[in-house]
Amino acid sequence: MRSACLLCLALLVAFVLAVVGSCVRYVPAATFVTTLFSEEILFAIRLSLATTAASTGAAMLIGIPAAYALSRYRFRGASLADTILDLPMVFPAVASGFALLLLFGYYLGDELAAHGWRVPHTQHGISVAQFFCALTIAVRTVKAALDSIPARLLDVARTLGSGEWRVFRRIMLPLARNGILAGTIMTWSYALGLFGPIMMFCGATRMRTEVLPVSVYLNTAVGDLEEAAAATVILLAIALGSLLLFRRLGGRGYLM
Amino acid sequence: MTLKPTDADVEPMVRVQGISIDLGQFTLRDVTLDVEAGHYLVVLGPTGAGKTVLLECIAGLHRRPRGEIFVGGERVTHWPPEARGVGYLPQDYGLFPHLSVFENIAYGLRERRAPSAVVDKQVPSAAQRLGIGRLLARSPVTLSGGEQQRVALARALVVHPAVLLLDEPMGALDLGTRAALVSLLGELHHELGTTVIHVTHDFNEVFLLAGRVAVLVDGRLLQEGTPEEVFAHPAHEQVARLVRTRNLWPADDLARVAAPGVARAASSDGAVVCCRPEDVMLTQERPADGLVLSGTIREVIPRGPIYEVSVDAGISVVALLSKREFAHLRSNPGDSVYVQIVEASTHILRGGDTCTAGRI
Repeated sequence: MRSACLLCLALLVAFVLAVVGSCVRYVPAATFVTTLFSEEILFAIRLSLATTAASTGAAMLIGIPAAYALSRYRFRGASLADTILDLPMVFPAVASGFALLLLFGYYLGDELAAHGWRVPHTQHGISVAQFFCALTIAVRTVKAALDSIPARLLDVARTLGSGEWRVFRRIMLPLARNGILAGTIMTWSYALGLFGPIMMFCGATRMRTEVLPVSVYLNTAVGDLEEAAAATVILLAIALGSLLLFRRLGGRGYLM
Repeated sequence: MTLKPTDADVEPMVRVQGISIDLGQFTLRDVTLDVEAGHYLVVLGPTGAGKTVLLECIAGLHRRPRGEIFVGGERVTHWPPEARGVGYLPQDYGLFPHLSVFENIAYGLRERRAPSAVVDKQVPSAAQRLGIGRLLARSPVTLSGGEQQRVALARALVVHPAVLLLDEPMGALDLGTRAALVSLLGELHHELGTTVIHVTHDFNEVFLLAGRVAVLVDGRLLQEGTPEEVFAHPAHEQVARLVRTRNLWPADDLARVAAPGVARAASSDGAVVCCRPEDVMLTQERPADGLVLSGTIREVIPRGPIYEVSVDAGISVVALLSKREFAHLRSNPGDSVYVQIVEASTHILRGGDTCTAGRI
């Protein structure tokens, strides 16, 4: 029994390493450095950083109070709201992109355009898609961090003279800091690797909506495998770093 | 059963008036209670009686219970916890793990924007008084249960609350630490004169600390009085069980096996005769007076210096004998004995929620 289980575990680990290793092995180090500083990859890195900074910032800015509400308040519809916030995570990627296209194009497109804001097929759209798909992780991880704080501490702080905001600032935030930080990293990492919804909602246009995952797709499509592999290695490195940091910070939620 | 305020002329420090709340597992039903300024009230009740919920309602930790709560004459029913001036010490102490002992104790002072000089003077002073002066730089997670308890007490007391609410403060402590904490709580109450409401399921704490005791069972306040009153004259069968009145005999059963005089007590339906086990005497010779039953010793359980003797006398009788009394009895399980019950030490409960007490 023990040997069979350990063999299965070893096979799974080997499979993951084989998939990841094939990308790393494909690009010689010298070529990787040259490719990394190519105009196209640098553009993809810059666009990825800019869009994910916006989407992650927004997801955390709104996600933290939302997670606080789910964690601390008992209200009618809390369970339904909780379930609805899980939807972006389980929605098929293509369906998410299509639904975003319908909302921001078909339904709200004209309204938004009248105010000078076009979302589909733009770099703004990339952030919107990332925000939509990553908000579940933001809320989940922050809620897990807040839930882990015993309610008694908050009660005692209230009786010692703290209002609700002061309790959040002086007790909850310091105690949940690592969890919130871990959640932020995971949200950012997920947004950075998002492809399907961006492809559907914003399209894959070279040097325009070319974030790192789109770059992998575009370069693979035209047979430029070295650039595709370089972008993949960057994404893998970021994913690995995020995962390690997430674990080190004691993050909980979807991934733990 | 609700109890009317004890003295309408004196404004109580805490007045709980008809408080009801339903939290599913825990409920309070129409609880009314007054606590005079400077009094030490122990709320006694079994686990799940709603004792903690009562404290939480007074502290303002439940939104919108039915009824009214007054603290220091102010109606605080809808006030947030931070405005009530009530100190609260939960069962698990609720120390902030990310703050040092010093900062834990200073928390309430800082929230009141006390100047640093005041904080720097009052925190060590409170810590010294509670015997934790050497722990100020430590993290609370490194402290023993007794030390954590003292830190939590210092934190609650340093802001001079009008009322201190203690939720099973001895719950997680070993016997030695409990004894030290009992004397500390007694001393602090005497020194500071703070009004204290202390909930527990352990009636020993009642005798050690309480000026008055209120008994809460299933969310209802069944009796309130001095510890001696509640102990000697429980007003309800559940109260009697809680204060370990081990002998609760249906009066009909007692009349069947005892002298005819007891039949008077049996005349009311559902009457129960209570007798504390320490008031039951066991003898080999038939006593000349009192209520006398004859029976057989069923079981003897040594409890340290005390022996718990169960006797089958047609009804089940439990007696507590000192070591000397038991040795003098010279009896073992299976031996015949006489049970002598001094009628003055019995107490009759009549059925219904509003039991009246009397004697045989």
